[in-house]
Amino acid sequence: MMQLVKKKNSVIYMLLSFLIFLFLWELSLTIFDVSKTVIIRPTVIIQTLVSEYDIILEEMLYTAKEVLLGWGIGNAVGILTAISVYRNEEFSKKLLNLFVLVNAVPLIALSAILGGILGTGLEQKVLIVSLVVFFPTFLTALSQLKNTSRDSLDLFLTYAAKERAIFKYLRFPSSIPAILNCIKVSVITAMFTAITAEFFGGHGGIGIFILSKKGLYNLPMVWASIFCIAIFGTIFYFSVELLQRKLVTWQKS
Amino acid sequence: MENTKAIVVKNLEATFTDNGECLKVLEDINFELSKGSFTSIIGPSGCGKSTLFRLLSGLPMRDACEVDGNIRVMGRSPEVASREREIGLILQRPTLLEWRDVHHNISLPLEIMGYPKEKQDKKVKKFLKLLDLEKYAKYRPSELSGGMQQKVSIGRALAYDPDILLMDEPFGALDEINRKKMNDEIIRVWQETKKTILFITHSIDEAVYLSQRVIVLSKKPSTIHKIVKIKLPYPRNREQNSSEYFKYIKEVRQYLNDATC
Repeated sequence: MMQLVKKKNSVIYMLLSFLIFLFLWELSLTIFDVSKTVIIRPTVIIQTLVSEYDIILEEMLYTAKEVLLGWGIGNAVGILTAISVYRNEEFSKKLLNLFVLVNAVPLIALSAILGGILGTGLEQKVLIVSLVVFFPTFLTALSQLKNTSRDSLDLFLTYAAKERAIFKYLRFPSSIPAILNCIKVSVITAMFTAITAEFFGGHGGIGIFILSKKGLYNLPMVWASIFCIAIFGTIFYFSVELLQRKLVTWQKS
Repeated sequence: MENTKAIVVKNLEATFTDNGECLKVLEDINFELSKGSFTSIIGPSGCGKSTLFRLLSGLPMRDACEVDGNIRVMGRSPEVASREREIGLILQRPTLLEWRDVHHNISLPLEIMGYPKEKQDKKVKKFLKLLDLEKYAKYRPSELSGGMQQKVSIGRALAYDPDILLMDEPFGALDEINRKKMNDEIIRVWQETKKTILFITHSIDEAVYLSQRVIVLSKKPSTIHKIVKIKLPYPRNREQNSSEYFKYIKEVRQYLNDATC
């Protein structure tokens, strides 16, 4: 109960401090009489956001689709791959080296190549996002599944537990907190990657939208889009955190 | 004769690799534990108590060079005895599953062993009662004190009814008061369940207070320096100025000093 109250308070504080930030922004621009075309005022941004919300939202939803699909696929494949290789010491080591190599290349740079193969549509963005998301989740899941406490393993041996039971009762549940943390952080990575990939070309989405509005010097629209991204990202992130709280009830962090 | 013995160790010798070299850790270890007895093993730290513990519990040995001699646990090799669920381990850390409450930590081995649900619940209830943990059945380990957590781990070891309880410094991490409380607790458990208990400790007081026999190990390579029979009736009393109790303490301390130097 206390936890819930605290949580509510922290959301209120967050909103409040954001409002104060906007207010100071507006105030300082007015006081120092900065030209309206150089830095846009928050009131203008919010006005644009309200009046043009249907256009912005449509583009945002397209990007959201890329993010959600890529994020979901990347994480799922990461966890499943880790589960299927963690028992094979040799193979998982080799796989790990390969992935380190692949990951050393900024995957976003591959979007040009992938664009040639897959086109620049939704599939390509989903693929890039899931590739970027995959690696940290795979790595976390693999190390968690492998580094189970030795004492616990000893105990399970005296219960004559088979690897299946060890996985079900020990390895997997003890890996959940770290994996969920990783999944949560990957929300931000996924957003960032999807939008950056759109900058490299595509058929729709908020990234493309921002580029075209910037070209037209419609800065209020650019800002409104950025606000929209921030709102979506925050909601997405906190939903995952909520899920984490619901699933991991034994750790108070 | 053989079937009154829970554990028989004959001419045990073990060497371990240390930086590529084979190092002798245990040498010429011979002892027997009768069924239902309470024995402590005491020795200087790093003398191979934990190695002996792992060998007796049939756990895989890391870095073992060579293990010679014969260990029988309930007439079988430790590995087989462990597979037959004759051995209950209680480690220094309670090693509970933090996502399970007390009830489900105790039922864990039963679930793995495929006991039907009703039987699980019945057994868990029995041991919750024995250990006076009924009120805490729904608590998570993180909500319990160290002593209580260790109690849960004792309940978990008892749940599948092994014949032998092997304890590796189970109360080493507890403060003095809790340790004494747990000492009384374990004597009560022993008397009610009639398990064979082998208790590894580095506390002389604990060894004398708890056990019928104290095995004093010497420094590396460890051999049995002395086996002291503690002929005091239970329940024992530390507080009372019992000269006999302190005589045993002194005796064991003397042997331990001899063994270390």
